[in-house]
Amino acid sequence: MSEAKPSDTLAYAFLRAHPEDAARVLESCPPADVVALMQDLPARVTASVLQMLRPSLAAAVLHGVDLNRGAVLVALLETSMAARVLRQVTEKRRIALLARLRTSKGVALRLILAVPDDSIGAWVDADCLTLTGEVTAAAARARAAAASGNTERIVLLDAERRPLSWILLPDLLRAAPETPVSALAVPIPAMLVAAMPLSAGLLHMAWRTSSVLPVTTRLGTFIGLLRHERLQQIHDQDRASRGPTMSSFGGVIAYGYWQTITGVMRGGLSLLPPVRTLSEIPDER
Amino acid sequence: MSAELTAAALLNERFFTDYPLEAARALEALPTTAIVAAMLARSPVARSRTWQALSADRAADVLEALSVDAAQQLLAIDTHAAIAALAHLALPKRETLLAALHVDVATELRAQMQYGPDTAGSLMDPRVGALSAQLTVGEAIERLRSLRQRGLRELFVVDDQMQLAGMVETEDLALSGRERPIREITRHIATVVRATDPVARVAQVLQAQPMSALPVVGDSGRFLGVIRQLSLLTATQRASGKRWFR
Repeated sequence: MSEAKPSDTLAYAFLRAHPEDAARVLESCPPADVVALMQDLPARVTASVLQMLRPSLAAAVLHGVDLNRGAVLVALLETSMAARVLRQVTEKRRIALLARLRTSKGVALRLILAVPDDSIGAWVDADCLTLTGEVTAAAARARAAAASGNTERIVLLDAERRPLSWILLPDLLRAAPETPVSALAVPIPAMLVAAMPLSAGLLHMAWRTSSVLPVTTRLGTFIGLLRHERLQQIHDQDRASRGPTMSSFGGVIAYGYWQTITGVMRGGLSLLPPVRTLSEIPDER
Repeated sequence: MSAELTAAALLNERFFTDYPLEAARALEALPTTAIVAAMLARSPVARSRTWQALSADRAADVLEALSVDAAQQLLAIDTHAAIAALAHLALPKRETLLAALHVDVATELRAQMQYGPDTAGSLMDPRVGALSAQLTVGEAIERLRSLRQRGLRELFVVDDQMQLAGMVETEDLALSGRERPIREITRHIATVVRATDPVARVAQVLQAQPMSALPVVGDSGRFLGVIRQLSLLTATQRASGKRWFR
């Protein structure tokens, strides 16, 4: 930035201090201009603005900047936003960007992008802390303190990255330093499969006991955590954006459910003997 | 505007309009030519808001660099900002700008810049650069480099409304981490005088609490300048006809 034009220096000060306001301004600009501006800004500032941008414009930025910078930006975005943006770049670009992300975030993004965006897997929070193998409470606390993402629940995974149990942060904070984390672990009430449709995910019984649930692939590989509140919000947005028509995903599910029930009822009724008038019924006395 | 990308221009316009204090702090770190270019590229509304938030010494730099026509437009925006900036200019330049203003505006500014002969305002040195309380130590050091005055031992700190918030010693600036907010090393100032206070009150204050520079504020509390011990002694000597020093 030391050799930046003064106008860019001022713009940078604004982007750094007010990324959300800046994002709204950039959404009214020609995408080529936004790309040119974002090519040279510090990556962290650029990522904080991208995080707030409309995904289609953020995707244009990922297309416009050079590949290595694009990969750095994807790595700095929250995983759910990175997934939303990557869904809007071309397949070729997406593959190229993901190829440069050889981190757990890259793995999580590949898993998330493998499911459609109207399934729960598309909306998980993959920026959560996981532990594999036995460690002490002190070591786990150090990991939690250094973690940038959600540490409310720390998921214990087996060697195949399948969830075994989880630790609640207050329990971890109260534990003696040498306590093994397995002694603090509590069972996970249920796990959701990433491919599950949003509406079906919302109806899962396990939400009655926990506001957060882990999401896995069909093979049980951990992807991330999903909050009920977030799922409800996405579901509501999805319904609102599609309108109260049969094209609504929730509507299709509800309609399918209703059709199934009524179909079964109709089928059952057809098996019953036809209704006859009283005079047609022989007197069996 | 043509030199800027549309995106940068729109961002800067919003920055100047909605966050004038922050925009002013960002501008103050730039060379004067860059400040002038950035201000001329903005809409009158954006320019006016940020101009009022510029520190007086940098505002004076802008006035000097602008054409008389452009400068008089800025001076007409806000009386307090205009007086503060004009006070930092050399007398010939100040008079040139005042002469170019509408007669009513110039008369008002002249009246507000003049203090009675026996008031604190008459002893005051208004050419004192003040630091915003929002700065970090690193930013304050950059500002210190841009100040015209040299050999300063203390710097005055003002809040967003240009009210005096305290003072920072240059030694504290030098010894603190660059990311530290200067408000953390700002010292409280127990005594100030108003520009309209009589000289006798100034003498009384400085006798009770000797300090190298006594801050002067306006009726609204805006920081206007300082009275240095030497100015007071010279004035007292002139008034009494006595020689205090040999």
